[in-house]
Amino acid sequence: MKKASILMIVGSIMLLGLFVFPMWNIRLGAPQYPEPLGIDIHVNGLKGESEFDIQNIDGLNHYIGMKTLPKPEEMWEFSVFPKVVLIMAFLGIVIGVLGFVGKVKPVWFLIWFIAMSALGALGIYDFNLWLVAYGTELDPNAILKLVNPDGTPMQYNPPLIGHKKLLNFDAFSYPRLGGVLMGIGMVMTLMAYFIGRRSTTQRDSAKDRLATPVLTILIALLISACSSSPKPIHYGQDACDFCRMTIVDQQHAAQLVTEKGRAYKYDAIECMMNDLSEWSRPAVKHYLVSDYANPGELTDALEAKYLISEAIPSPMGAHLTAFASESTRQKTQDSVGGEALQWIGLKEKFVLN
Amino acid sequence: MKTISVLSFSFIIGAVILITSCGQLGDNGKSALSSNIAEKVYIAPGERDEQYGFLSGGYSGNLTVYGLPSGRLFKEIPVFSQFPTSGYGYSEETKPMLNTSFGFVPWDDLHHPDISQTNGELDGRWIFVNGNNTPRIARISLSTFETEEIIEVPNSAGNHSSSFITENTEYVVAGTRFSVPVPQRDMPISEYKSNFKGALTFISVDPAHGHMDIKFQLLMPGFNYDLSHPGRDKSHGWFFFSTYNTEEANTLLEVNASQNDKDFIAAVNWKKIEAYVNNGGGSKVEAKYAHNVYDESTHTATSTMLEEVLTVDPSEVPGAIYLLPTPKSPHGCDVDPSGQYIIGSGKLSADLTVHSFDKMLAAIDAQKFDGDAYGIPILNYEDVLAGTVSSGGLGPLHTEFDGRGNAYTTFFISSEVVKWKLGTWEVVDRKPTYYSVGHLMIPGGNSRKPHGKYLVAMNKITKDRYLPTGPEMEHSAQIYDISGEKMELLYDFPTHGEPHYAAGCDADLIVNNSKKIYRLDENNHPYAIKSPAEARVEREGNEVHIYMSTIRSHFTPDNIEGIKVGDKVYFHITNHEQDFDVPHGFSMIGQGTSEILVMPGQTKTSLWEPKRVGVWPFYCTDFCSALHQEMQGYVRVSPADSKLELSWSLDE
Repeated sequence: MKKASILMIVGSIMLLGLFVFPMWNIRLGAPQYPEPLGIDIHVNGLKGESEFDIQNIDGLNHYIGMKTLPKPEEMWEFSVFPKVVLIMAFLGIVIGVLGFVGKVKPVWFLIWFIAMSALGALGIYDFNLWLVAYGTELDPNAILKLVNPDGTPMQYNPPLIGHKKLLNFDAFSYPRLGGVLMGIGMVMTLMAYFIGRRSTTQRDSAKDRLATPVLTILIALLISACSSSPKPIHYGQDACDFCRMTIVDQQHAAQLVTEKGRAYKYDAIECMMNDLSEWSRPAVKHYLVSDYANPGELTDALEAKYLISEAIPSPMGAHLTAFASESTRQKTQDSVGGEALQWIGLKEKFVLN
Repeated sequence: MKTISVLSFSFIIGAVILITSCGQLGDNGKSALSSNIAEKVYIAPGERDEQYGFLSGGYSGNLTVYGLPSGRLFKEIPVFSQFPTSGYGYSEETKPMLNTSFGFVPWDDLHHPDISQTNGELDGRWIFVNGNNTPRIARISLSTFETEEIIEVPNSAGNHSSSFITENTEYVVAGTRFSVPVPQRDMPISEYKSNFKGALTFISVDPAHGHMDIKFQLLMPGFNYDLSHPGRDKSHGWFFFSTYNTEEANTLLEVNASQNDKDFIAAVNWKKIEAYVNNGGGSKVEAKYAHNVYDESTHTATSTMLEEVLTVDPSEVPGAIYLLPTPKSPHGCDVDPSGQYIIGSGKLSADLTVHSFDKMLAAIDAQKFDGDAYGIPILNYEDVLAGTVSSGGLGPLHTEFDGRGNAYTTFFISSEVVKWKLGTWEVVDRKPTYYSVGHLMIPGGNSRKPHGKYLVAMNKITKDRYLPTGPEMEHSAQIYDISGEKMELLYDFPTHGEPHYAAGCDADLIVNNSKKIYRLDENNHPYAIKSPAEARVEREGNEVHIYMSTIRSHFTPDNIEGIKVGDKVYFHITNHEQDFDVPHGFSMIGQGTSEILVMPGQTKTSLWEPKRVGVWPFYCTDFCSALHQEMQGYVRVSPADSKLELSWSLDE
């Protein structure tokens, strides 16, 4: 129980990291911003990653009519959140100390953890509300009024977590050290509960009990891990990750998904192949190409049948087309001619290993 | 019979090869194809060069910044010439930079860049250059790449043996090429001999902020002081000047100044003279000269006219100056990284003369002199000679060093660079240049520690190296890889103006200090505004001051009324951007001056004197954003006797 209590105290103290380090970060990179602009979200306000980043983001956002980024006094969160964090850290330490001297049971550690998780979830919910409001409540007199292909106004809210393309900008949103420390701290308090409970119940069945926290953590990790599945391509909106041109051709688009779940989209199969030829990113799990016969449908590139024919232009000029079925490819080749290829042959053409 | 036919066959083949290889590609063309030379100068898109090269712009009056080895031009830094691209010399803030005792001189002939040094090694803080025509020395900041200071050099003319610095940047030295009456006066030219003086000027450099101040002028005999270099390491404390026209001819110098078989390299013990001056030596004489300083915090230059200068007569400081006989009108006067060898390039000769510093000291100790010139002892040629480089070339001019015991000398007449070994004086390699090379530069090649990977040869004649552009062409430079035993010609690139020498260094020395923006909160310009709310227009008699701000993409204010014909309208424009590489420009229709380009956080002033009634537009000259075309405004100009009050607005 003493070990568990120490874990509880240390875990709670780690919340205080939020007062030193940023909790979250949103970074905006674009071709003309090789050094991305970044916003560090601290528990008590926003700060530019470089000194003038906030000013420069506001300057760019005025074109599309976004509000300026809030000053600490403009959002109640920046005055309430620090208090909540302080109170929770204080409570956690008190519970830990009480546990150490044997005054409370480990279930209090769990109660603290659940309370903190609930508050955290509320915080993230609130953060998302703000992101959406920030990205969608636009000045009606904005200089640039952009619409989606379906006619709805374009929205600019950065992703809650992960990557999103906002016009010419790539927005990345990830936790920073303060947030990470908080997460680790919370996991420690949960472990404190399990360890504490184990030591206060039968000591001899410790081995079985150990399985529970390990399992829980594993499940939590699994749930939080990114899913590695193909992502929809927004034609007319998404830009090719290789040539930067907008993806419009539904018969030639392609996609790679890495084992980490990051999707790379291409306007043409040749762009995907060219990108692969200098690939230094995480290993690819899914290779996908458009089925020429079914526009907008992606099919497994390793199984697909390819045709290089002057009669069928492809977006980047390689005249390269893919088919899901061998018979369709054969029919097409019979009518327009050209060179038939398998994935292996295609790889050789683009010098891949 | 069979042997004969094989022989004749191979003779024919040989002849065919000879003939076909006689194309105008010559040496360089073939080797570029047969090896991977292209890779050595190819900087892939987005990659950056290894080194900076700062090439003098000669009669452009400016300094150009290149990347090495790519030869790509990065910037032209205005120094002695008005420069409409940025408004330098046109804006109210920078006009004082070009002030001289002769008034506003908007041009000069810029020579000899030299990067500041600490302990004989480049420190990358400043670069010094000289104006040859109206003698001036300029200091350029290597954090802003802007000219920060220009000091005029009085009693000098053809400021050519300049602007070389001592090894801790104690002094930047400026020597006169043309001797003149000192002080200037009305006298017959034919009385040149023994009446004209050659001033060698030692300008102290403040170690903290680089400010220059003339410490003393050494009034030497009326020779032509051609080039100079500081002693370094063991010879630190001395300065060496090549001379010609020791005949003291005042007409047809081409012939009359080429009569003496030997002229001199003057060795000046400046530490000795400095001590003499610090103890109250020397005499102050009247001399009018301008000192112009640009203040980065006010973004404004001020010009001060100074009235006197401290002069030293060589006879007052015995033992401080010696003359080293050097054959054939020496031009280049270069000192090797160890400070031991002083190389004199007799420009009418085939050979180089190398003097030994140690031998010079020994000869001085032994008091072995071969007469004197106006009281300055002349040493024996044989006593100071370390060696002669029998080059096989013709017309040696300048020498640089690679820090590995090799020296590289340019030969103007025979169009080549010759590599030779210090100490043994043997020639180890030679490569042609295209054509008639003047200066050469190895980054750091005139310091204790050369950054000796590349050599840039700056040629005077271009002819057929590029696509023709009519009679006038840019000069041409060649870059050689000197990391191997043999030099390898890598690349040709055109250079702007006429480069007279260059300086270079590893990029690391400068990259991290290069400023991205000026901070608006540190802008102390008297007419700056820190917020658009402070934008206003004020009238003082017929002077109108417009306090204007810019941000993507509008001027505040952009509608101004109440201006009258005959007013002097000052647009004081503060760029409120704090983002790298987002300048805004300003220009006004019919304005008798250039545009101005205002960098983020900076304030610049443009003067407009409206002459016609009307409503006149102004606009931003830099494509600042997608809405740059919208960045414009109007000024209403009323008749001189109009009673219309001043008013201004934005979006009202």
